[in-house]
Amino acid sequence: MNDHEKIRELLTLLAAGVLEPHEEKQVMDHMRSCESCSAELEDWKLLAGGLRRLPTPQPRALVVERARAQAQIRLNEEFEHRWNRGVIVGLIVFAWVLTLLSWPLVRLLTGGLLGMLVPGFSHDWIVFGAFTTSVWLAGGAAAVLLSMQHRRERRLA
Amino acid sequence: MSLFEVLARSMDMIGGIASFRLNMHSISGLGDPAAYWEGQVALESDVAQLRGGDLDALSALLTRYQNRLYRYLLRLVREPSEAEDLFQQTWLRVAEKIRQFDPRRNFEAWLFTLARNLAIDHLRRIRPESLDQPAADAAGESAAARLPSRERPAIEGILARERAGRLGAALELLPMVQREVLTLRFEEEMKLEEIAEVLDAPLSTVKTRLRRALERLRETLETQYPGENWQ
Amino acid sequence: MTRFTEELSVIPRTARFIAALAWILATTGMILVVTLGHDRDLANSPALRAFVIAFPPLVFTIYALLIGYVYADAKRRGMRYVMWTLLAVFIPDGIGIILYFVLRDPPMRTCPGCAQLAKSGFTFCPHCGTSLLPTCPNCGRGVEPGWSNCPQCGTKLPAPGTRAA
Repeated sequence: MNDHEKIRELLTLLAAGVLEPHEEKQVMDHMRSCESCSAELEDWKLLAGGLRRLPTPQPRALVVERARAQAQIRLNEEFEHRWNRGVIVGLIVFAWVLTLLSWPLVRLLTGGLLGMLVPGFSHDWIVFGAFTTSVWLAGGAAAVLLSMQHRRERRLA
Repeated sequence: MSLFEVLARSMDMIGGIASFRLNMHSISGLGDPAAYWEGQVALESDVAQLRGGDLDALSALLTRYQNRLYRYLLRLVREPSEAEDLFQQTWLRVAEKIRQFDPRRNFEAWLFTLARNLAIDHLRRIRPESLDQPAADAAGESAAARLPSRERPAIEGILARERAGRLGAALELLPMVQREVLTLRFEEEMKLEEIAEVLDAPLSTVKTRLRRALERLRETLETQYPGENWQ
Repeated sequence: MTRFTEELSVIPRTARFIAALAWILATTGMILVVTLGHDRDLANSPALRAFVIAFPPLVFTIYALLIGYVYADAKRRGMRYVMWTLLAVFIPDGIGIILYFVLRDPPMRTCPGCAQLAKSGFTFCPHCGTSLLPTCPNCGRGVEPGWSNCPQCGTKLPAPGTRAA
């Protein structure tokens, strides 16, 4: 009775409610003539019903509230970081744009001047390089000083 | 919503309700289809807002899933204090990873998958043997596999087990992967496809596990309480 | 996009006005430079001319708007806004602005008791004394809601939302 064996396997799945409609029909058809399988199915259905009715364990309110607070803080942090990162990247691009834009300005101002002092001076790139480097050095020094002061203030606060 | 979206949504819903009715006999406790779909729309809106960083949406989702998520974790790790810890970790993960969440995916399945991964990592570190093998039988169970709860009084665990009765006790003796598939199917009432998504396993594997789990459960009950009613 | 527009609205009206003015002046200036100048490259390429007329004024306008933002934002975060605005203006190539964004304080919080603003790290309101943050039951220092232990003395903290005894 190979058929019977196959049906017996499907009985548990039927009680679990995961059979395809055609499989279900197969089982129902078989059960019309088979008493033992019908009885089996009832047993499985009982088990399934018992599982469905298991009491739901509840988490403690303390745990839930702490999870809520932590997760909310974390969510805020994630979105803040993303925003700040975007802003900083945009500003860095902007800073480079300003740097590049300052080169023609420098050329305009100093090219003429130096041309007057040193006849034949045509190495603009040296001037650009010197100007940009001094600007970034000054900026870097300001950054270091400010962040040191900032850190001192934060620690005292 | 544009007219097209309204039409698409209605067709979706009609199709959903049609297949829903086919499964109706096997899904108990979902009740009124209209309420179900209302809940789905609210869920989608909460998830969308969460993806935008809305704190209230996070709070609403946490409240919505708090009992179910805790229950799932408790079934996996069996220790209330560990389940509580994992509960907090899961929601932190949700906050961390929500930006990478594809809104077309099923949020519930994703949530349970996150929880599952955390639970498995945890078990691998603390009790690696409990992952593959069933727990020791009831007699040897008492001291060996049970770590003492840190914050919960022991009496609560005993009372909870009393309420769950024999069925609950027998469930705890099954291997983790079988407990898991039983809780997802009967307590969470997830569809087969959703369970397959959470477990990241093919449908056939889920079916086999489900069948074996039920058979094992019955076997356990009949050995523990021969001839008696396990209700 | 709403976060962006939200932040943009911080820029004070004066700054927006100055920026608009700067844009008009700079564009006019560039048009003059291009039409009256004798640069060969500019004469040959209309695309280059358009670029030179449009781009630098845009950059100056953005610069002006950013300065306006630094002024208003530093003010609402309780920082020394005059100092920061000057730094943003005078440290060249926009480095001052970058520094501001990297080093700025978190936003101020409204006191639930007197509705005045207080800086973000404060545990108690300096105006009315209401508690702004939950405190550790052992050492009394302010802690963030959601922490399980006090970072200063290590004591276990009660749940957020429950009133400490």
